[in-house]
Amino acid sequence: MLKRTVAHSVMFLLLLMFSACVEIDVSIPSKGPGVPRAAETPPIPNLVHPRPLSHGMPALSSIPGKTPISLDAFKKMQTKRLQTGGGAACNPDDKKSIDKVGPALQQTASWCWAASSKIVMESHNIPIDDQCNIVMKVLGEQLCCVKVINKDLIIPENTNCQRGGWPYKVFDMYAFDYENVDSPLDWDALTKEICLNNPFIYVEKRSDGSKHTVIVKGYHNVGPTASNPHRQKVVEVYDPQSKNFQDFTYEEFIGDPNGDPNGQYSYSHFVDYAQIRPLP
Amino acid sequence: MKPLFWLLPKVIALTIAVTAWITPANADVQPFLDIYTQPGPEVFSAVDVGMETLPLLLSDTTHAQELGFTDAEQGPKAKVTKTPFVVFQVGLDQLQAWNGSNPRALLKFANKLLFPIYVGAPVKVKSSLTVRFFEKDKVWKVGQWGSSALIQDLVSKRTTIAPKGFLVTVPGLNRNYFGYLSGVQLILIPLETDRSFAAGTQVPAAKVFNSLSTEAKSADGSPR
Repeated sequence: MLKRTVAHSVMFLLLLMFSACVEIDVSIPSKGPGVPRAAETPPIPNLVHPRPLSHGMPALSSIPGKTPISLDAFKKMQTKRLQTGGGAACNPDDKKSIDKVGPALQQTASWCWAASSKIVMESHNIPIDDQCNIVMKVLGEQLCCVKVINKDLIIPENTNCQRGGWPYKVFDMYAFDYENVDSPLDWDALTKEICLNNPFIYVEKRSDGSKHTVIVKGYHNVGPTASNPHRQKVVEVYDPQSKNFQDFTYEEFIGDPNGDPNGQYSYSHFVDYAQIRPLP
Repeated sequence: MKPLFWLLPKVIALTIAVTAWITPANADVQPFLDIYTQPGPEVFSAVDVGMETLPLLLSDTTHAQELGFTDAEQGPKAKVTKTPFVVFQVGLDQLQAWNGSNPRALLKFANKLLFPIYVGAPVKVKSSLTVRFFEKDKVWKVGQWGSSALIQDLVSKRTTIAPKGFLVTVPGLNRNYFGYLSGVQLILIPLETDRSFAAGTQVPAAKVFNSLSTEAKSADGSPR
């Protein structure tokens, strides 16, 4: 009887202690004293698109726009385009940059899709409407261009103008072709795309449920250095949110693998819009 | 069951004591600031890799200028400050669910430190280097170079407003703030003007999050 009582008490104590540990989450971010993280709220369900497949990749039917293609299929298209004289010979171990990208800021906090699409389309030497006019056309709204604070900032009179959107709708509106690639471009595909003078857009999907578009405009393959015996693959990006050019390590560009943004980076690629070119 | 009831008050008291012992008084930004405002050598190993790589990236004037430098020759002369900006982020989902409680609890360490890169005498901040902590492997790695305008703005505010300031980012709504603690109160200074606040205004965090919470609830899952 005494043994049973002691066993029950110990089990109860352990259970309580365990639940306390789970509640306060004491994961340690570095060497040093343990520091708690703020409690995490589970991500909300995606309001527009179906939830991703269980293995993390977005369901193909959930990627809006043209039918998505696999990376392999995309690479075959690239090879064909290069063979037909679409671009210069590539050296993935060197560097190349497309200078016609940026710097233009997205004019409201919600217009990354309009800003990114405009920048990439204009890199093909075709003038495109201002962001607010793109938004009015694509969203079917009015008064998106009022009021202009400065060249980088608009506070639209019509609050319905201040919404997210999809680059493919802009491409459709302005007669541009594109490919929806259902996974991040690998180094080979990325370098070839830049060699073809095609800056491209990827949609970053984050663990908090949000999405954002970023432009890729170049690459470097550099090193080794004294502290790093390996060559470092680096991707040049332009983020219209911050009007800042950045160089990302290739790993940072990819983020979490398999379309699941709940890993160590807290973001992954939802879709890559590549071969964005005017329709013939 | 009798012995269980007899033990219960003691178990509850012990649990409360252990919880209080493990949880710091301000279980939010302060512990991270204490650790990372003066980071250890494990962080600088990653910084060294980043700074050695930098001159290789500045191979031509155009790209050097894109990353904030005058020309490619500034690459080998560039140095980092020893005191980075600790990066905190606030999730869209957290803002959507926020009920007005402690705003400091919304900030989550983003596992990133932003180091200003400077050149010359007099010292001029040109660019930045971001290093990221990987919890699984317990290792720091270089992640990004650039963000010239952002780092210049942050350094300027750290010099004139709060030497212990940090970066608060709300990626889901594309907002960045210079944050600092005034006593226990979290103050945010928007780096960009929006519908609610002008850039440079000092605003209590609760007021900012209240405004962002409304906006977050209108987000529909499309890119912004």
